[in-house]
Amino acid sequence: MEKRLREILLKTQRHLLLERRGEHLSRFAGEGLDFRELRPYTLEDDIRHLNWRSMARSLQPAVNVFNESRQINVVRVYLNSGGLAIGRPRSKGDLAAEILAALGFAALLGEDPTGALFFDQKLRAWSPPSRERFAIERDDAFARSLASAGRSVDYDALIPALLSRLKRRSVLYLIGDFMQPADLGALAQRHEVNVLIVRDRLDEELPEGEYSVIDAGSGRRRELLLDGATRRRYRRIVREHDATLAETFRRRRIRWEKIYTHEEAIGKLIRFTRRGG
Amino acid sequence: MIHFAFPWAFALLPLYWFCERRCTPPRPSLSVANLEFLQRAAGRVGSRERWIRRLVVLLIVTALADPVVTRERTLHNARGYSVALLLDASFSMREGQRFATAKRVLADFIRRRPTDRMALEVFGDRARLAAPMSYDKQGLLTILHYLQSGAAGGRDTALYEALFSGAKLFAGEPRKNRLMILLTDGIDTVGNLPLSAALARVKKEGIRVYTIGVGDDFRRGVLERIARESGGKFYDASRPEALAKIYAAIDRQEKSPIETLRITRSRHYYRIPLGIAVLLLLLLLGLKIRQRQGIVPVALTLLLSLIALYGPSLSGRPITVQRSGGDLLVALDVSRSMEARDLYPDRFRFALHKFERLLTSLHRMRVGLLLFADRVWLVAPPTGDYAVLRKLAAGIDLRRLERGRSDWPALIEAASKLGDEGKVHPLLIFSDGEGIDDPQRLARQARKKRLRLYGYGTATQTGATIPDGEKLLRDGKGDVVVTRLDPAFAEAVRLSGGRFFGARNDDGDVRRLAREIEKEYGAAVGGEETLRQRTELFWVPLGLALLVFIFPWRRRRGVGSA
Repeated sequence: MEKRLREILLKTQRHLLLERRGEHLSRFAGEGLDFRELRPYTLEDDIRHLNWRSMARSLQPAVNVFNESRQINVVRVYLNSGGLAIGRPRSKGDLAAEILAALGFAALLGEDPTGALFFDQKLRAWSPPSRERFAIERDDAFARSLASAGRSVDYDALIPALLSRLKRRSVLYLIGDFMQPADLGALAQRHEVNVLIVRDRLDEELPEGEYSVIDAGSGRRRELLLDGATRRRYRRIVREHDATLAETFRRRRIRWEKIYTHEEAIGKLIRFTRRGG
Repeated sequence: MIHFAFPWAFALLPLYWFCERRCTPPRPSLSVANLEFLQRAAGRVGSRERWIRRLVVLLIVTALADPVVTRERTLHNARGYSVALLLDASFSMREGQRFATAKRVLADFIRRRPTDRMALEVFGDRARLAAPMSYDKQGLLTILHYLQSGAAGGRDTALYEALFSGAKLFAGEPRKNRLMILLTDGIDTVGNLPLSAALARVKKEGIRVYTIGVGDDFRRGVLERIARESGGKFYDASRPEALAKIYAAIDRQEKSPIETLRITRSRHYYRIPLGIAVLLLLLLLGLKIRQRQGIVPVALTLLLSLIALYGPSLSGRPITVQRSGGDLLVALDVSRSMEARDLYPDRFRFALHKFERLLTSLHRMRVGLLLFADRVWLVAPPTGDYAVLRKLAAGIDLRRLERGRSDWPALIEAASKLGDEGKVHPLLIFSDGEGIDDPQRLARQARKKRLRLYGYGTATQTGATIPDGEKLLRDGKGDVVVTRLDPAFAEAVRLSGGRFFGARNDDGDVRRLAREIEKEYGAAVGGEETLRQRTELFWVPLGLALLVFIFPWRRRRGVGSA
């Protein structure tokens, strides 16, 4: 195995150990051993799940809800866009690839089958969920070879592409820079959607001066002067965009995390997966 | 009309347009994930600056193109040729419209040569100066218009005398380019001067004589000799129609170096676009200071533009040019009563002296001079050439004029013909007022002819006798005539709306009079004006400014991603 991937694997293992071991990257309620919460009894509930102790205490029927312990598919979605090229020395693309690999390993260690989907305007690659390590290596290689320049994510095409491939309820990890507005509501209805926003400082804080500014997504070029006021306004606009994004995610019950290129990514990622529920 | 002196400067505009996108050094490029955010943030700041820059370039280029209003002016006192026109005015010229044709062709010739100084001499029994050397063609044409054959006596032809005295006309003229055109239809019949003497004089003065023989009884040999010996040419115009061709030929042969005599007065308007550009540059500088970058080139451009705005220029040799204002007609009374000696040395000389003083006090009026008694003599139509006026006034010889009682209505009539149409002209009369019958009617006539009378009373209240040779002038009854200042004169002047001045020995009154007249009538652009052929150099700093402004100064910056 490639040294870089081995490092990712080791880091993932370490962080998984630091957190709790043996968990799935899922939060589906269902049959399992992993107690999740108490919920008032409804007529649909199996009486086998009644929590008698709680009922005795509160004189109300309550049922135990367990996280689903069955193996579920973890699908990593690599949202390839031009913006991923941004970032020095580590680009957002590097970061996204690292996250992709780390997630793969984490799923593997949790013995969940994991697949990967690469998408920009159209589907670039699809590797169906499996528990093969080489699949992760292959995905990593593909992620690193994927050209990003001039590409942007077409969410309207992405969602049907995903939905048609995921027959079972799956855990989705969408990795992208999310610099465009995105509505993932249709996905979140059926699947557990997690969003990992990869960002570089440059996305939010522009340098000062005159630049020939290129839109990484479309390749459009404009000569712009970035003075103090412009930079301030840009910062505000990105912050507002992020706030809107966070608000839609909250409403769709989508969990999200922002990871910067200068941050220690894997620790943050694993903590994010553990914090679930 | 406003036009651009260097319209090719506008060729810089497409160049700039091209440069704006092509020759700026590749700016550091910066990739952003979503340009739309940045565009929204940048708003119109970048494009505003670009538009300011474009506007500044446009304005500077417009200034460089030098919007200018030029006025071609012929310098009258610049010396081209000096031409003396000698016109035979003997009675024989009346034959077959010869004189009229000659006059017409001559007028045409005069108009063709605006840059020459010309004099006109007519000769008959004797040679007489009609107009001295002057650049004032209008006056010359007026004189020519009123010229009659027989103006200098018509029975004889004083050809050689005319030649001789014509040479005198060139006194004070540059020796180069002296030209005389002698037109005659006969031979010398006076014989008071040999041809050889006249020719010697002409040759000594370095005058080329073009001789034109009209009719059929001129002596070809003589005219040919005059022309040959003086370096001119003889033309045979047996038929008067040939005259036009001859003058045209002379005109072709003696081309004035006209270009040097014309002066182009330019009024430069580059300061208007440049001023706006400077304001925009200030704005840009403010922007740049706020951005804390690219300050130096803009500041340098601003500085250079300010230098250009100040308008550095090289000034050449100053040229003094007379500019004329309105017309002032001056009439000198030359009736017998003006010989009275109650003013020193006599009334006429006193008036003449005052007239000369007046000329020194005037600056911009064109002055015409009339003499009047029982008839009116035009000495000079309105002209700005005061030197000629002085010369003419000094040359007035009362003894040559046959004159009696002053005819005032005739004076008003004659004066009214001289001024421009439709404008009220001042008519300053030096007179003792003798001969005015009805001041009210005179004033009314003057008003009708659009003349405002100014009077200068050249007589005393006490009065004086009039000398007549050794004796005194007596009237029909044998009584000695005593003339006084007629109060009717002052009355007429007052009624016409002008002002009357009494005779005074100090010259302050004339100065006052001159000032008053100039204030009222000299309003036309005027004064003696010193022109400087200036070489504008504003384009030097301005061109530099443009270079500095356009030059891609921006340094590469290491920030950003490729």
